[in-house]
Parts: sequence; C-alpha cells; structure tokens
Amino acid sequence: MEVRFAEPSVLILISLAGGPKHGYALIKDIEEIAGAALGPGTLYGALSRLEQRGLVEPLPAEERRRPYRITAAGAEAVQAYLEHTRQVADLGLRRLGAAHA
Amino acid sequence: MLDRLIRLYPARWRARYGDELTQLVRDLRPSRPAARLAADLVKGALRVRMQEGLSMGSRNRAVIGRTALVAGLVWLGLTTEIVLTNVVFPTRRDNDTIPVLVSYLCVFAALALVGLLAARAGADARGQLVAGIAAGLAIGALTIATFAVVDNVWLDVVAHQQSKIDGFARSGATSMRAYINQSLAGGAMFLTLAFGAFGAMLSLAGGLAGQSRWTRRPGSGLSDDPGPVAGISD
Repeated sequence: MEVRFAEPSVLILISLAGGPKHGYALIKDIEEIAGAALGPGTLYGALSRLEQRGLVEPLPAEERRRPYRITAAGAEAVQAYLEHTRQVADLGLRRLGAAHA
Repeated sequence: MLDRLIRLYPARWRARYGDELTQLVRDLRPSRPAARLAADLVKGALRVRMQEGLSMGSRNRAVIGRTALVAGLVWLGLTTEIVLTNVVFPTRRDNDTIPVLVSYLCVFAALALVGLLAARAGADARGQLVAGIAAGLAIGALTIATFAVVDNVWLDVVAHQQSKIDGFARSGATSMRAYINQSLAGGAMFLTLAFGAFGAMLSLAGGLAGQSRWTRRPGSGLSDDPGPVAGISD
C-alpha cells in the first residue's frame, strides 16, 4: 500500500524551507523527501497559488528557470500546519496503540 | 506537442509562468512518459482555469454587492431628504438650497466610495468604472422616481411651492400634475446621465485612492490546494 502524505503546497513549502529552488529542483527534492512525483502542471498550479498568497516569492530567473523561496508568512503557515498535523497524528497513533494493546 | 498543451492555461497565467513551465516540461521529458506529463498539464490547466473563474465570480459578486449597498443607502438618504423638505416641513418658497447642496456632495462622495470599495474588492480600472457608472445611473433614476412618487402622492402639498406655481404659469400645461410630470420627465434623462458621468469620473478617482492605500494581506491558509491533506491511496 502506497502512503501519500500531504498536499503539493505543503511539500513545496517544506522543500523551500531547505533553501530556494526552481521547478525541476523542487520536483527532485520532493521525490526524495516524500516519495511523491509531482507533475509540472500540479507543481506550477500550487506554486502560483502560494505566490498569490505571499507564501513564496520568486527570485531573479536563471535563463528560463526561476528559483522560488519561502517567505516568513509561508514558514509560519507551514509550521502551524505541521504542528497541527503532528497533534492529529500523535492522537491517531495513541488510539491505534490502545486499540491493538 | 507538450508545449502546445501549455496554451490551455489562461493567457495571463501563461504570461507569468508559461516559460518556466515549458522549461520544466523539457527538463522532465527524458525521465517521464509524455502521456503522464500531458495528463498532468491538462489537469493543471483545468484547475487553474476553474480557480480563476471562481475568484473572478466572487470578486464580481463583492463589487456588485458593495455598489448596490452604497447606491441603496444614498437613495434612502435622498428619499428622506426629499420627503422631509417637500412634505413634512414644506415651505412655500421651496428654498432648500442647502439641503440640496449637501445631498449632491453626499452623492459625489458616495460615487468615489463605490470606486474605492470596488478597488478593495479587487476590481481593475474597468470594473471600478462600470461600478461607478452603474451607481450613478441607479442613484439618478431612483431619485427622479422618488420625486415622481412624492410630487404625485402629495400634489396638494408640493403645488403650494412658489417655484412650481411660477413654472406652471409659464408652462402652458393643462394642470399642475401635468406640469410637474413633464418637468420630471425632462429632468430624468439629464440627472441620470449626469450622475452616470460623475460616477465614471469619481469612481476612478476613488479607485486610485483605494489602490494606493490598500496593501494586500497574504492569506495563511493552505486548504484551497488540490489533493488530500493526508491522503492514503492503494
């Protein structure tokens, strides 16, 4: 059974938290950290929404590859999201542990 | 073939991200099947178009709602002023210069406010212009309609105004009611068009003020994104 964690925007923000990246580098990094192979349309759809919300910002393009970096608001948003997810996951694991005990 | 699929994205989106997306597709092509890339591009284009459509729909609804609210409040204020000065506290001289002046100033301020609120709702200059013209035309037409109702319902009161007695004497109309309605019909076109024109100018000015003062607050939510929050698939 394949387990897919998190949505594209969260994966993008987590990847950018490790430093600015352009599209191809993002896809490769997300494959490595989450095992999720995002498509180009999915990646840019999510990137454009994140940029509109001020969660990521573009850096000057290197030829046709433009790197993006996470903003302070983006870091805050993804941290809040991950902490909430951890609380839910902890609770779920405790319940599963109790059920199997 | 894959480059052509990028044309499925909206033109404005493509102008901003098209080159980057094209380059990414070329970078990925050696390692991924073309059919899989094509399916993802089509899915992405549909999602972007749907999101732009939703965002435009909600923006238009916000602009229409705010414009209608301002025009409605102005009409309510003008109706109160018209009833008070013509029916409740009528004067024979019909000397209501100051209330009329204040009313005009309020209408002009409201038309600028329409542009400002439209800009804050995300409308571009064209949207602000349309909102201003619509508000001006609505306020003008509703004001004339209010005068028509007040003057016809309370004809015995308004007929005592000196300006109306003098106008009726000069008009050659067969009755005071006919004179008043002819005057209103003549004024209807002028007032409505004049308010529409002022609406166009003042809403653009208000829109400029709104744009310069409005700083966009980034959203913090991640929930609009596609895909499951923690999806588990077989």
